[in-house]
Amino acid sequence: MWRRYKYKQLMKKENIVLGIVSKGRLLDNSIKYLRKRNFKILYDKDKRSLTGKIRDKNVLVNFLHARQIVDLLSSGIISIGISGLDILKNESYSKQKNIKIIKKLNFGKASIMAAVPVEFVDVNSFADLEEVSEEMRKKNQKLICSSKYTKLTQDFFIKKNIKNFSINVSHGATEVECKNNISSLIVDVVQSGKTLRSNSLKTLTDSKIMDTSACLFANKNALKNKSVLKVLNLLTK
Amino acid sequence: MKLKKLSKVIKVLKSKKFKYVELDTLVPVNFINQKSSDSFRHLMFTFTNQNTSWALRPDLTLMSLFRYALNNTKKKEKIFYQGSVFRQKEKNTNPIIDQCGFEIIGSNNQKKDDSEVIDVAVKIINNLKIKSTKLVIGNTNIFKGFLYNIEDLNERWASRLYKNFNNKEYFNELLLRLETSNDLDEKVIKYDTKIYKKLKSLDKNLVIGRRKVKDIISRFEKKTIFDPRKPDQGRKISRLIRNFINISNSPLKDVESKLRSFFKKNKIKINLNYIFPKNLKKIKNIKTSFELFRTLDMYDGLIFKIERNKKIVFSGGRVKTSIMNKKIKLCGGAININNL
Repeated sequence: MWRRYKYKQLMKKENIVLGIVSKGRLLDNSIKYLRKRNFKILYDKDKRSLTGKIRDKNVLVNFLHARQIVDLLSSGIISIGISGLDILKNESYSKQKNIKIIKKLNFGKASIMAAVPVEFVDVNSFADLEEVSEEMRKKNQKLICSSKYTKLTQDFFIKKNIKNFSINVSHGATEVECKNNISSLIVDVVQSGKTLRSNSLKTLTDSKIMDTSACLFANKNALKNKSVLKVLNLLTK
Repeated sequence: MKLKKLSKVIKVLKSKKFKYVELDTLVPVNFINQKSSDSFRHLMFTFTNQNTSWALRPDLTLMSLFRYALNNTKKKEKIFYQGSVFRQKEKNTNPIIDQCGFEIIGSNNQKKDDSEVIDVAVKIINNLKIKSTKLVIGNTNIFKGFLYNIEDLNERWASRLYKNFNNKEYFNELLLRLETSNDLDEKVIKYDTKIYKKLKSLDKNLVIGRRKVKDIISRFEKKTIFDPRKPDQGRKISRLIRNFINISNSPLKDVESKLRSFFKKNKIKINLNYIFPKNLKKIKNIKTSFELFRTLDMYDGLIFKIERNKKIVFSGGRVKTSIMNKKIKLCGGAININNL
C-alpha cells in the first residue's frame, strides 16, 4: 500500500516511472538498450537498490519482476516498462487492454512451446495428445500440463480441441515435473531446446504457442502525457 | 417487451404439453469433467467451497441433463426451462445470457421427436411473428457415416477429423497433414522406434509422465500398423472430403438427390433413409436449407438453427451423452431471448 501511495505521489509530480526486470539476462540487455539511447541509470544507494533514476531526465526507474511490470503498467502505477511479450499475453484481457506494445525489442527472443517426455513415442502432434487425453478420460484421469503460462496454455489447448486437461501451475524448473510424474507434458519457454533435450523432453510438430521477445510497453492512459511521449520517442530511436 | 415475447413462447410450450422445471444455478465442476463434450469448461465461473469445486451454470441443457441423471429415471419427459446462464467472456461482453429451452428427454422414438421439436420451434417463431427467418438443418450422422466409410481412411483419422470439424482452422490443418503427410518425419520415426525398443525392455507397469509404459507401447503399435499414410491416398481423401462439404451445403429439396449421386459416384455405402424429419417439406413462410454444422461437439443426429439477418434466434438438435455412467438421449431446442 505504502509503495503504491509513494508511486502515486511521484506520478503527481509528473515523474515518469520506468519499470525494468530486476535480474537475469533481461536486466543486462535492458540496461544495454537504455545506455545506447543515453539513458544512464543512477541507483538510489548501490547496485542492489531496486529504485533509481535516469541521469538528466525526469524518469524514475523501478527494478521489478517481469510479471509485476505488466501488473503495474496495467494499473497505471508505472507508465513505461520493458518486459516479455509472453508475460503480457498470459494476462487477462482486462489487463492487456490497458497496455500498448510500443516496440518489440531485439533481445529475450524465445518461443513458448509444449513438450512431452521422449518416451511418448506414440505422441508427435496435438492430435495424438487429444487422443491420449480422451483415453485418460475413460480411466477417469486428466491430461495434466505443468506451466506458468496458464492462460496461454488453456487457450492453445482449446484451439487444438483438447478438453480433458488440467493445468498444474509451476513456478520454476517445469522440466522436472514430467520426470516426477506430476504432469504428462509441459509448456515453457524454449530458446535453443538444449534444456528440453537434457531433461529427456521433446517438442511436437505443432506445439509452438507463440514467439516472444522483450518489448517496450506503455500504459495507454500515460500516452496522453506529453512528457511520456517524449521519453518514448527517445527510447524508440 | 422481452417478457411479453417470453410469455408467448411459454404459452406455445404449455399447449404442446411441455412441463416447466426449475434448474439449479450451481453445478459441481466434477460433473462437467465427466461429460464427454464440455466445450463450456473454459468459460465457467468457478469457486471452491469446502474442498468441492463448483461452477455457475454455463448452459441450461447441461443442467437439464444433470437433473435427469440425478433423478435416476428412465421415463420419457417433455420439459421446458428458462433462466440465465453465466459465461466468462472477454472484450466487455455481458457474461449473463438469458435462455429459454425445451426438451424431449429419455425417448427412443427419434423420428417422431425430431419432427415434434422442429414443429414446436417453427410454431414459436410464427407465434412471435418473426419475419424473414431461415431454417437450417443438418445431420451429424451423415458426415460421420461418410468419414468412417471412406475406403482408405482408417478409423483413427476418421474420428480425428470428425472430432475436430468444429474447429475450422485446425480441421484444415489436419486435411493438409493428410494430403502432404508433413507430420511424418523419417528421422523422428527412426528415433521413436529406437526408444520403443528400449521401452519394450522396461517394466510394463512403469509410469512415465503419468502414463503406463504398456499404454504407450500399445498406442505406438496401433499407430504404426494402422497409419501407413501414402501421399497419393491422402490427397484423394482430402479432395473427397472438401467436395462433400461443398455439396452438403445446399437447399433442402436438393440435398438428398445430391448426396445420393455423390455417394454412388464415389462408391461410398451409407444409409440415407433418414436425413431430416419429413414434416419440414410442409413448412411455409420459412426458407429452408441443409448445412454441415461446425458445432458437432455434443450433437448426434439432427441439428438445426433458425436465423434472422444472420443472427441465430433458435438452435437445437439431438444430443446423446453419458453422464454418471448413464446414457442419456434428448432432443430439444433453445431460443436466444437477447436476439429476438
